[in-house]
Amino acid sequence: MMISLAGSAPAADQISDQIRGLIAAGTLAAGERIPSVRQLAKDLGVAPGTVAKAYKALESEGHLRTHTGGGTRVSATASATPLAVVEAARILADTSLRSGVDLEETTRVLRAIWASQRKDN
Amino acid sequence: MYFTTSTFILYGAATMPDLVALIWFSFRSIIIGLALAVVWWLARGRKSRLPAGLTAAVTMTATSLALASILYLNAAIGFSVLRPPLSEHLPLWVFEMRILWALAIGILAVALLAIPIGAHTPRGHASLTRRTPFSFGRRRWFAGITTIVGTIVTVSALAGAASEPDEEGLWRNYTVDAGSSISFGTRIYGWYYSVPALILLAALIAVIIVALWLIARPSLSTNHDDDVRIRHLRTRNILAIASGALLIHLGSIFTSLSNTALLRGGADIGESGWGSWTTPFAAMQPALLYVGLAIAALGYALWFGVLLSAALTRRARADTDQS
Repeated sequence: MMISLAGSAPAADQISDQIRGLIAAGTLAAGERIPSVRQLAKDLGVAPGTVAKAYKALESEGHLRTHTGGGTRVSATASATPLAVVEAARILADTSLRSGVDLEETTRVLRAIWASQRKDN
Repeated sequence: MYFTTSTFILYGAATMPDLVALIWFSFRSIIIGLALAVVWWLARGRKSRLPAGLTAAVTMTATSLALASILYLNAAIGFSVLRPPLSEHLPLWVFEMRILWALAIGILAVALLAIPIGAHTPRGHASLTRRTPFSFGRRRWFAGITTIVGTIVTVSALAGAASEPDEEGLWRNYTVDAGSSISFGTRIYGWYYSVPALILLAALIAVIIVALWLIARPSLSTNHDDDVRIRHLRTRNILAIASGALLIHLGSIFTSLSNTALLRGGADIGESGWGSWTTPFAAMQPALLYVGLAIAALGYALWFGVLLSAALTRRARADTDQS
């Protein structure tokens, strides 16, 4: 889950566009915590105000919610993918990579297990 | 001496079996810890080797210094010839407070393991993963260290509550009341010892958090997977060294309490004859001793495990470079 700054578009717009895209794609799950304004600003080499502006825009659109002391999270209504599913998918991807199993094989195994679980249910 | 390690003086007439027994009794936890670490290394350790470089060099230096310091200090108690020439001028409490050595050495080792401190260089791209002192460690590692800290605090509080001030007003006395103004006393791991230990414990926790924060803080490099793996290993090593220091300290507390449990007293009780008294936890003495030795051995195993993960990697890489 990387975001990059390139081109001449304002940095705040680039940040909000990319986070919006990751939420829409299900890569960022509902309720998932995202970095603090300070961390993301330092990593990207922009002013904290730029990231704050992007977060504020996403918050006003209902994509993010910020709680004092609780950090910034993806809004529960913004993403269709529950956090538990995304975390389990990350563990599966990590295990496959460490075991040398490629994406195709992993997907095949997942499909087979999925089919058998649906039959059981 | 108050704590368990007996004081020996090397005489010219000491026989080889005596010397072997002396070394075994002085260093048995360390020897068992080394054996456990070698077994771990052969079974699983190769998977978590540190790549050659500054991180491995610093890890090896910090762990070697920690182990060498604690070995030397323990040897200086057992073998008086090893003591520095001016040792008689050292304050007595340095040796009396040897139960604190593992914590003090642990603090220095963890502080060293924070090196190399990465720069927070902006790269125009960023990971959307939060980086906190706890981001690169597994939950069970943090749960383990929290359990050890909880046990130390509980045992220290119980022993402290059982302690009484001695004739100098220091809370390190434990007495068994035999009635008729007769009482028997010995030393215990009371507040005199545990308050400085708890202060060092708090300092160790603070140093751990700062070191983990320094590892997590810099932005991830372009080689994302390798960078995450190194941070994961560094976090593990810091928690292993800190857990080792805490376990060695906890082991010392248990063996110290086993010494307190050895208290035996007897007095003439008139026509009924001779009465004898022990501590209420006298039956736990063997358990306290062996649990203490086992816990300390586990602590040394963690230290040796980290040393092996840094040292053997370096050698393997050196061999590769030469070939």
